[in-house]
Amino acid sequence: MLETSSSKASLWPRFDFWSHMSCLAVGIFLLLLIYPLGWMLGISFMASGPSDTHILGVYLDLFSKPYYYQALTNSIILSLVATCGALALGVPLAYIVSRFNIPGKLAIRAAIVLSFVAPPFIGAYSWILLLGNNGILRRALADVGAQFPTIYGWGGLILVLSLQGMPFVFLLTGAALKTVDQSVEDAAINLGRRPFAVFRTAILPLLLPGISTAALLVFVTAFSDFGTPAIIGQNLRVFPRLIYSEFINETTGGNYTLASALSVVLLLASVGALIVQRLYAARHSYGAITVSPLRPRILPLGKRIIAALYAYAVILLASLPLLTVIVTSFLRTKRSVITGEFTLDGYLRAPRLWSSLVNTLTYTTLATVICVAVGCIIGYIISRRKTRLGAMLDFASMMPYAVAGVVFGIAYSATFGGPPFFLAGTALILVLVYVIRRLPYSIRSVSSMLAQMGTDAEEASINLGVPPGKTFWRITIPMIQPAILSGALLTWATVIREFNATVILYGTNTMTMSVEVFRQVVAGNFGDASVVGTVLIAISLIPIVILFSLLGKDEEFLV
Amino acid sequence: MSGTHVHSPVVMTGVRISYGGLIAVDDVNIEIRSGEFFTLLGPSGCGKTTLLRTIAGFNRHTSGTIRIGDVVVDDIPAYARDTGMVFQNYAIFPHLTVWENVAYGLVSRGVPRDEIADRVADALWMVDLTGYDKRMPKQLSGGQQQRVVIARAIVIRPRVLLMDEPLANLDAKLRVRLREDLRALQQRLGITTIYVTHDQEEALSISDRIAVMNKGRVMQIGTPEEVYTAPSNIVVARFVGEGTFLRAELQASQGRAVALTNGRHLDIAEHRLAKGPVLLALRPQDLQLATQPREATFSGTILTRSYFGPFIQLLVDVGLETALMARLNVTAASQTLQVGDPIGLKVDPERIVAFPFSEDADA
Repeated sequence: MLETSSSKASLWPRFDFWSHMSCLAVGIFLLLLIYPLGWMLGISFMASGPSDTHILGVYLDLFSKPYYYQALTNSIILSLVATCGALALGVPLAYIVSRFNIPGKLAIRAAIVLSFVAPPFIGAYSWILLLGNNGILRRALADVGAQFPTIYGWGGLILVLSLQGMPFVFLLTGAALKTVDQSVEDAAINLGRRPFAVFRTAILPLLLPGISTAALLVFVTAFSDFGTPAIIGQNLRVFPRLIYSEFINETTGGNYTLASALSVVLLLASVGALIVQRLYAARHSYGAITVSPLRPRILPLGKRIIAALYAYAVILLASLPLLTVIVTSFLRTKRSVITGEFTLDGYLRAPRLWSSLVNTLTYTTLATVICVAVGCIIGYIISRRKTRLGAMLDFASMMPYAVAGVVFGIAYSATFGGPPFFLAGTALILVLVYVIRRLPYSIRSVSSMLAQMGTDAEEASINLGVPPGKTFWRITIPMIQPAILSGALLTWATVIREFNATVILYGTNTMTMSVEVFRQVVAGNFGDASVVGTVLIAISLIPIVILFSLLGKDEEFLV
Repeated sequence: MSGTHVHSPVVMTGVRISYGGLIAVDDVNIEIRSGEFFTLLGPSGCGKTTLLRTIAGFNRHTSGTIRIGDVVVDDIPAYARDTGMVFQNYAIFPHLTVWENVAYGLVSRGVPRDEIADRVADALWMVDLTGYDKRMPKQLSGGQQQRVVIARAIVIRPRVLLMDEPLANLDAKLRVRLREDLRALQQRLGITTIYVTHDQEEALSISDRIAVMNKGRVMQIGTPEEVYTAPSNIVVARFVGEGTFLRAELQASQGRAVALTNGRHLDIAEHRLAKGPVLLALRPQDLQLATQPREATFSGTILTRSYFGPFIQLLVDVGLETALMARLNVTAASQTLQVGDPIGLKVDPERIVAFPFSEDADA
């Protein structure tokens, strides 16, 4: 029999299953997010040498010595120009593809997805094959007498980073276009506006929140990208390269002060950009309800050809690097020079192809499983437990978006690499960094599905005598399966090509495919790099194919 | 099956539920008898669902006690309260078959396999869903889904059945049929049932007793007849049934004569009110057509006329602050009435209920 005693409402909330899970969630964020970043911040204030007496010593150096602040200004200029480039290419492309009757839309969308899932720096090194000192395209152009500049330096960086950012812009602009109601355009036309003025005055303003999100993503990605500048930047100093080289210098002495301070600056810049974008988007969001989205318009033949040619040109430019990687992976290499001869030798002989493939698949799978398990629980707490703790977890789960891979790399190396954890070079440190970087995908996916779902079924289960923990397992989890699956696949697809944190944290036995590609590129073995790169592209595509075919998602789901 | 149910009275004493300073339910004292069909009736936002969910254990009341049987359940978590709840949105488990839905609560109670099969079959037969065991919820209509959920709630033999507007999402015809089935099932099982609705007709037709709630408080507890014919205050009178409400002046304490705003005098039913301003409630069906002019309590002209089949509803301007609503049986005399015609209406003084006048009850 149950107790018959009555008691007044106690001061303490009942300690049930979800209280324990909330503690677990807080613990995870404290351990994997707050602790490493806080530790890094602390280290940045430590003395970097005997001459350093001021607590802000390193920071004073950063902003007074040209060596450092030039890297910062370089990075800012490069990222801004690349963002503008990505917008200039992506916005018109998205508008053309979603509004006009040009042929081959499916092929365009497929190419966008392909360039989206490609490892970040693959664009950079295949442009060397095309437009390097000895590049195929450059030689061909030289044969007809045209002297084309090489891909190295500012121009090449801007081109590659713009093309890398373009898919973000395309996808987010496309998604924003879907929320514009046809009546907006009709009304503008009805009031006597010409087509371009209609776009400029009625449609574009509604796209601004989406476009600004894309701009933020492109900016932050370009700002924190290490691979591309390392491959084609030559001696150009940008911030992530600076961090990496300071890190390499310092690991021997075990002194992370400078690398940490630089990471803190990078972190502040990304968070600053995030805050600016959020404020901008909030001011330009109108919360309009879409009844019928914009309909495709029929263009007259001449304009249609121009629009189609523009779209194909951009797409060709964006997918050229990928095609180059795939094609060269099947060509024979002689003394580091790629010949025209077809062969499968590359796949049979590539060093470390299998070991890096096994590593990559293992870490990715492990990280995805952990992300899904933890993401389900935190996503549930955020959307179902409307407590102050839930709001805090919600905020914490947004933070990894703003923290660059390089920064996590430095922070994890400084915190978990040495005593008392000694995780440097282990698989565990890689899995942990992947988990914290991609945890937001599972959390968002689960919490947004739960937010749309009533609590009735869960309450019915509890009412039938099943305690909260079991109810979560037997009712909630089966009901949110689609969200779990899509969160998992997105995690998998992005972890598999992670590079910026991995390059700092990997060890001799924990090399992943993205690092292997990078090492081969740096060593000048483009043939081997292409082989590993092609395999990487192929396995990155697996979850995307599942997402699209099995779950009926479209490409806008990726962002 | 009814013999194996353990049915319990439900007793709420001084129950108050507040969220961050906002009082949702206050000072609720209700004794629900074992086997009774008890309805919480009130407009949306009156706290009836909050109270029901508190009995189920989904909310914690701020003060007071709730007793199911001889057990104070205040600190017993929802999953251990042994109540069976039926939700407005069905809350069917979409990934389980009909059979698995109904068996769900039994499996968690560790009931032996053979017994589960018997009891599920029994419950499905009771809600007329025999043979639907292997269907998935999405293959069922709304009414069938709701019956699955009712079977799922009764199969665990709960101490009390809790129903939160279970018929609100069904169409009008199905709603009437299912509520009759529900009442018959409840009678057969003899299960204590607490039913929440905002539909006064539903409440009147299905309940043993009704608690009318407004703004978090219980206004009146009584049988459907008591609540309808002898509302304890103006709020109950306004919510349960329709009517016209007239301002009047009571000539003497506990006297039967009142003066209307136009100066006319009128006799009303017995009451205990003191001399002063009062409100009179007139039910539309209590107003009858006066065949002789001198029979007429009120006389005026017809403003609107609506035909309902068995009766005709009129709004009649009698020179008072509000027009009277009258429902006349379709007869030779009433059928010929048209908008603009003069009309005399009579009413039995015993049918005129008076309430103390209050400004805020006017809305």
